[in-house]
Parts: sequence; structure tokens; C-alpha cells
Amino acid sequence: MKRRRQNLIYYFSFVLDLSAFMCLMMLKWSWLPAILVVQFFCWLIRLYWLNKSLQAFILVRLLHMIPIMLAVVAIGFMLIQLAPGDVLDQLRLNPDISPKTLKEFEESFGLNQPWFVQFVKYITNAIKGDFGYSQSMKAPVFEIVSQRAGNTLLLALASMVLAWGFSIPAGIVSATHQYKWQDQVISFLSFTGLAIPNFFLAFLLIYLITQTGLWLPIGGMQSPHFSSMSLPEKILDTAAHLAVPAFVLATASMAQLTRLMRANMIEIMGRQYIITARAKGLPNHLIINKHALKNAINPMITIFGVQLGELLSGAALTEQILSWPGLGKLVLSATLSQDLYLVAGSLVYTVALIVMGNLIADILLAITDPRVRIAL
Amino acid sequence: MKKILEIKNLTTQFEMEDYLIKAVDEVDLTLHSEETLGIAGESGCGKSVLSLSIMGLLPMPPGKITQGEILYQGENLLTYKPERMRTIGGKEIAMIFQEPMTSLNPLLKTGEQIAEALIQHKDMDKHQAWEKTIELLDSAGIPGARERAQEYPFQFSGGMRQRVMIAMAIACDPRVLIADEPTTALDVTIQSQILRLLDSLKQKINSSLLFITHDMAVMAGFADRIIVLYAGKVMENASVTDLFKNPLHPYTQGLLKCIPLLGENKYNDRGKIRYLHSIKGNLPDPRHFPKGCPFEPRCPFAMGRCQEAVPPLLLVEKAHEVRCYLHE
Repeated sequence: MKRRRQNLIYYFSFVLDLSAFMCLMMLKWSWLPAILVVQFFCWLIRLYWLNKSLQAFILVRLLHMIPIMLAVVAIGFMLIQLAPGDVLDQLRLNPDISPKTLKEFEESFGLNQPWFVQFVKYITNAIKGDFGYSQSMKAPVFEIVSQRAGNTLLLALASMVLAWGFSIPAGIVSATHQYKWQDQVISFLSFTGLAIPNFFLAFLLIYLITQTGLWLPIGGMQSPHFSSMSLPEKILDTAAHLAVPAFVLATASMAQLTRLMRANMIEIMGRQYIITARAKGLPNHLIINKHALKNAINPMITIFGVQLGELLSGAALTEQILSWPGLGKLVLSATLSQDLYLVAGSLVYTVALIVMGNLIADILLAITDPRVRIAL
Repeated sequence: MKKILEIKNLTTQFEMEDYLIKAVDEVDLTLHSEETLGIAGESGCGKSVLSLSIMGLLPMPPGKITQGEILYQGENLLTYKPERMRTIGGKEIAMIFQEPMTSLNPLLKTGEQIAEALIQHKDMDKHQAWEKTIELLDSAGIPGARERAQEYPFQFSGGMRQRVMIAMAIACDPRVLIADEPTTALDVTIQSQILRLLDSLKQKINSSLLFITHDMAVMAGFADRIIVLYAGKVMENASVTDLFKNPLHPYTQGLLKCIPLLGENKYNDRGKIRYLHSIKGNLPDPRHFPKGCPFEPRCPFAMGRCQEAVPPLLLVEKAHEVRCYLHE
């Protein structure tokens, strides 16, 4: 009986994720990020859909996102209004444009109204799906942001995979070979990674790659003839372009995570239940990978949520140097040209990502730790 | 009776940077099959280090076994490589630890933690191991074992966790059980339940038991023979009846006086309130070990020669050994 109900909900969840995918496609997402995002969430839910309390928890957290996003957009609005000048300043400097035209512009954009009126108007429009029109880019904000955001997300996810994929095993090796040469090498590398600033590493890599003639693109996201490539070629081309920026972005967090994982692992290996496991006569690989790893990874998951935000802000600098067409670069130029709606739109997107990241971290924690799952 | 575990002249040291601690000092003991051997002594006298040495679980470094032999059924475990030792630990010699609250992995189902030992040592598949686990939990007195096996350690009380630990220890029918203060962390009513359970299960699987405790009252009802350890040395070795009837070493006498008696007169002969006896002083600082008998600074009968050399272990009566010049 229980089994059958499980299957039913299981099939239903496929319908759910298909429809979610369709929704995203209709919102002009490109298909790749849409599939990635939908699949990720649906698998998380599918893994634990049985647990009603977890679902309620996710729902509540998603509702929490609304006030958080409102608050962030309000603060963003206020800060931009506090700064002198507005998006029309460049036009004002142009002697060919008459003050009357400027006045008309001001009224049509609502720039003569106080910030909170603008804010409320912005919010009401945003709920309808209209995120405003970017004056500096001459295009709807939603279009620009969704185009760029996918790129930044790709960069952030790639560097996250890189950072986690390296730091977890490195931390384990480091902890299980404490003070031996493996540990020394890994510690040396991670301290180096911590010490080198991102932008400097980017310049260093650019220099190295150009000097050694190593075939790796060091700027942009696509080769000029990208549109004429077949799909596997396209993927390869993007991956090659991704390599340098993702590595640059990943180094700092890689180093940090390795140190953390090492410390966690060393602490866990001294716990009484590890001695119990040894007394049971379990082989070493089971003790490390089953008994210790699960416990050591828990604190890392909490960091996962915070890390997404860190990566996104770190990405701005990397994107600028390696000319990756991402959100960070966009926000920078939007802020400089005081393009209010573009900044606000990017903020909404970034905040949504960070809140989602924290939510994902919480769900993952619930999956790995029964104490959290059952207490929910 | 057959000797199952024999320890000869075992010395375990901790080598710190600028000093050296002898936690176990030339200890000899013999555990016969189906016997319960108690090891008594106060905190820090080397009981736990002794048990960890037997299991090969000593953190090395700083720990180091410098001399002696641990013979399990005639074979010296100290010569075993770690891979081979893993076929002994959990299967032939199993251990129950002092802290039930921290001895179980918080992220694994309790049943799984028992089943993995069965899979490791008994060549069972997952299903068989799970069924056996439920059987074991049931025999350890856990009600609703089938459901409880699916639960996590934090859903168990202290006493229940210790039952899980016992079920885990007896899972592979070990020949030797080592119980390192299994009831110290539990309250008194649970203590007696756990002890009775341990005793009955031990008899069921015909194993021997090395029972480590500082509680002489617990020892009295439980052990066949008792070894009293002090500062890593064997002070007295006697059968339980001999030891309680006729304790020879001043330290043993002190330990026995520490047991409060129910219904004892509140006042002593002179009409003063009677306080619970305690042995004055502390264990000697392991960094500055006395040259002579380690108990000499606290001993009410200390003589001049006690300071000069450690007394030898003297066989006083039949199977009653004591390390004291008083009985030469």
C-alpha cells in the first residue's frame, strides 16, 4: 500500500518537473539552465518528498524569500537614490538635448517622484513580470539579466564543482595523513591559494597561457564561430572558455574548504564512535568514508549556502578581468551609469540565488543529518 | 580451565615530548574461558589503556607497547599486522565502551551499525545481517526491535544505547568480551539491569569477560576473580571471595572501605558523624614516579624500604598474589 503510494507520487513528480521546465522555457530561459535548475530541485524533493514536514519547511522558506527580496530591493533603491545624479545625467551633459525634453523624460520615467513611490511602482510592475526598461542598454531588464545570469550561474556552479570536488578529497587525505608529506603538500597549496588574490591569479594565468602558447581561451565565453558548431563542439568550446575563470574563482574557496574539511575530519577521527568502529574490526576505508565522512561533511553543507553568495560577488571581479559576459560585469556598469532598474533587477536575481542556495543547503542538511530531518 | 587470553609482562607507555608515562607497567593476567575477570582501580590507573592495548586501538604515537605479549589462544596479538588484527577485533574480542552517549555514530541507523559488523565478519548479506541484528537487539532487551533498528542513536536513552552497544559487541559471538566501565555513565537502577543483561548474554554465548570498573560493589556480585591495578601495576590478584574476605594490600583495603553500606550506623563509636571513607591523596604524578611502591605516599602502613624499591608480586596463598612488603 505504502509502496504504491510512493510510486504514484513519484510519477507525479515527473509531471511536475516537466511542467516546471515548460514554465521556465516560456519565461525565455534557455533550455540548459532550465533543465539543470528544474532537475536539481525536483530530485531534492523527490528524494525526500515522503517527508511531509520537509515539504512544509521548503514552502515556508520559499515564502520567506518574498520579504527578504522586497527588503533588498528597497535598500538597493534607496542607496542608488542617495547617490547624486540619475540615469539621465549623460543626456543632461549633451547640449543638443533641450531641458524640456529632459523634463519629459524625467516625468515619463517617474524620476521626479520620491524613491518609495518609484519603489512601489517597481514592485507592482515586477509582480506582473515587468522588471522595467534599461536606459543604458536599451533593452528590457528581464531580458538582459536572464541572458547574463545564466552565464554567471554557469561560472559559479563550475567553480563550485571544482572547489568542492577538490577540497573534500584533499581534506580527507590531509586529515588521514596528518603531518605526513601528503598533508604538507596540500596545506602548502591551500595556503598559497588563500594568499593569492583572485584578480592577481587571473592576470598570472593570462600571462602564463599567452607565454607558453597553451591552447586555452582567456577571455569571453564563446569562440567567434560558435554558432556554426555542432552541439558537442559547443559544449567543449564553452568548457574551454570556462576553464580559466572557473579555476580563478574556485581557488580561494577551494583553499578555504580544504582547510575546513581537514579540521573537521581530524576532529571527527578522534571521536569515540570512530574508536567503536575500529573496535568492530571495520576496514579503514569504511571507517573513513562511511563513519567519519558523513559527520565531517555536515558543517561543510552549512557553508554551501553562504558560499554561493560569496562566489557571486567574487565573480564580478573575475568576470571583469576575464571578460566573462556575466551578471557581475553587468551590475558594475549598471551602477556606474546609474541605471536603476538594471541594478534592481540584478539584485533581485542575486538575492534569489543566495536565498535558494541557503535553502538547498538546509535541504541537504536535512537529508544527511537525521537529527535535523526528524526535528523538522 | 582453558586459558583464552594471557597477558605477559605488558608495558604500555605514552611518550610525550619531554617526559614518559608508563600507563600499564609489567602487567600479567590470565583470562580463562567462560570466566569473568574484574579489573579494579581508580581513575587514571591504566585500566582503559590496558583494554585498548588488547584491542590494538591505542593511539600510536604517543602510545607505545614497549614490552610483553598478549596471547590470544596462544598467538601473540602484538605481532599481528593491522589487517590481521581486524579479523580479531569485533569477531574474537569485542569491546563495550564507557560512554554510550558518544559511542554510537549519530548519523547511522543503530541497526546498521550492528549489521555492518556482521557483514564484515560473518559473510552475511545485507538481509541476513539485518534479521540477525533485530534478533540481537531483541535479546539485548530492546522492545520493538524491528522498528528501533531503523532509528538513530539520538532517539535512544542512555541505557538503551548501552544495550545497543552490548548487542553490537556480542554480534559475532566473540570469545572474549571487554567491558570498560559499561555502567559508569548510567544511573543506578539501569546499572543493575545492564549488568544482569551482560552476564546472561555472556553465558549464552559462552564467552569470557574482562570487566573493568572502579566500583568494588559492582565487582562483588559479578566477577570470578579480581585484579587490582594501581598506577599501571598489579597490586593484588585473587578470587572474588578471597579478596573481599581477606584483602591483603592496603590499597585494596582502602577501596573496600569506600563502599557505603546500607543500614550502617550514622554515628561511629565515639558518637561522631561517620563520613564515607576515602583514600587520602591522589595517584602519583606520572611524570615524577616514585622509585619505590607507587602507593607508598598514601599508604597508612608505609615503611622505610617501601620508598627504595617496588615490592615484587608475592604469592601469599593459593592463587592469591599481592605486591606488598607487609606479606613477605
